Amino acid sequence: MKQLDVDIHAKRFGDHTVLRELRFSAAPGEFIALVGPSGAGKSTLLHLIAGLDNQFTGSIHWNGQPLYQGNQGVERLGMMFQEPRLMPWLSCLDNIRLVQPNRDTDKAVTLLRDVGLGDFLNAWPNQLSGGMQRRLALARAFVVAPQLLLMDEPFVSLDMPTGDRLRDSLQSLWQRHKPLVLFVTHDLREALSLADRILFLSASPGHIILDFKVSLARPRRREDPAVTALQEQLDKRYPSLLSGRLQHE
Amino acid sequence: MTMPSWLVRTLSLLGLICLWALIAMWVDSTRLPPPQLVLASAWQHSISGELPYHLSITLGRVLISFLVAMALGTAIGIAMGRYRRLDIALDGALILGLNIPALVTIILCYIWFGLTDVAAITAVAINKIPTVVVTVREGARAVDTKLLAVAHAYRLSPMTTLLKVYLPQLYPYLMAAARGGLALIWKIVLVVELLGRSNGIGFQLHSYYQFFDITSILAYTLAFAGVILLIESLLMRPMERRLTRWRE
Repeated sequence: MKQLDVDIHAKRFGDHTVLRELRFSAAPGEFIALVGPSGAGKSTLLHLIAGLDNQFTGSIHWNGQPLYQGNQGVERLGMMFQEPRLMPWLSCLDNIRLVQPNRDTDKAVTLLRDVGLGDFLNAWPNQLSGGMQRRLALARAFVVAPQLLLMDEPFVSLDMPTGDRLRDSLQSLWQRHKPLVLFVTHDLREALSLADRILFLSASPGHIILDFKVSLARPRRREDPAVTALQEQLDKRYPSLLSGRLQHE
Repeated sequence: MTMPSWLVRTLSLLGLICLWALIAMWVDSTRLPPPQLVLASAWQHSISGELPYHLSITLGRVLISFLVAMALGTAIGIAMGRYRRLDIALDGALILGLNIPALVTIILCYIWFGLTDVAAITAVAINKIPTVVVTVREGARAVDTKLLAVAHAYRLSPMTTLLKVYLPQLYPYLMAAARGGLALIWKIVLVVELLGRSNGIGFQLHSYYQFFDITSILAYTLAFAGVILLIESLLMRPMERRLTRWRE
């Protein structure tokens, strides 16, 4: 069963075409990573799916319904951005409760404990370290019990142990709640350690050049030998993959 | 040991009063009565009920024109900060509004709307709105669209977005507009009262000026200054602290 059907004919910013003929479908509970060179329109794609931008030709369907055409689209959507994007004037707890339609404090507290922020319920976001701010943003994304979770390089520019802990938290939360995840990254190892499926994007205008299944056992870590082996295998077979090309030209 | 800030504030005020007393002693003239005389006069006017009556009338006018000016100025400021076209369209009117002398709007309002409270409050609000607009517009231009995208992605209601995401970003600007606003409105309300009302502090000052009763003029001024200090310390400062405590 398909839950998300993306069929983008073109997305332009002025004269510049960012996405062209980009198509894919996703099933409920899938963890999909989107990998591509910078400027390939990965963030733009997430913005289109989130409904933050609806200036494009083509269609996006959610459970068979066209998205954002006079409807609310995905009912429960979680989103993590490159920056934590917390409200600095709200306490940690209130940042979480902000996005809950029913303001369920118990659930918010439980999730904050899950990500290790149980002792910081009443702290202000700017009192937290960068890693803790990301954890808060992660808790915020899961507190709405998302059906669809959009993540735009959420763990970029973190040191390795901090990034690993966040990826562990993400995997365990995902396994418990099973939302469909679209995870944008330019880090192949991160994609291999998290996703069931990796969509490789071309350079601009972006479209999908390779739909790759990852069937390594979970839980995985970025530094696992199996991840390294798979990465080497991919590198050998498609040396220009991360520049957005399947073959050398 | 560092002194608490309330003590510094009190000492500085006491210092001012001492300076006044010293100068009054040195000048020794009815044109500058010493503090104790003024205080006694303020007391007299208070127990006769006259000062509280006029003070409350003036306070009412200040409050209403303040609220009207803040509400309209904030709405226009947000709209101008947000919509470039509107900003360009209204910019000329704004500059005009900022520069028209208060006296002109007051006189015109009295001529057009009669010597009424509505005319008085309108005149004060018209004087104040442009400065609120300028400050709030600055804030609206600085609003972080990335945080608004969060509100949008999580489908927050327009009300929640306004109260929890949008307005908190404007608070420092709104506080600045409110502070400056109150100061300006006090001044203009007195002129409005002097020119066309038969009560309020402005009217009273005018009467005492006719009699050259400097002690009473200073007594009214003192009462008035006291009220301003109270509003500042009991309302404005605590509110500002509350709104900005997350910055600590």
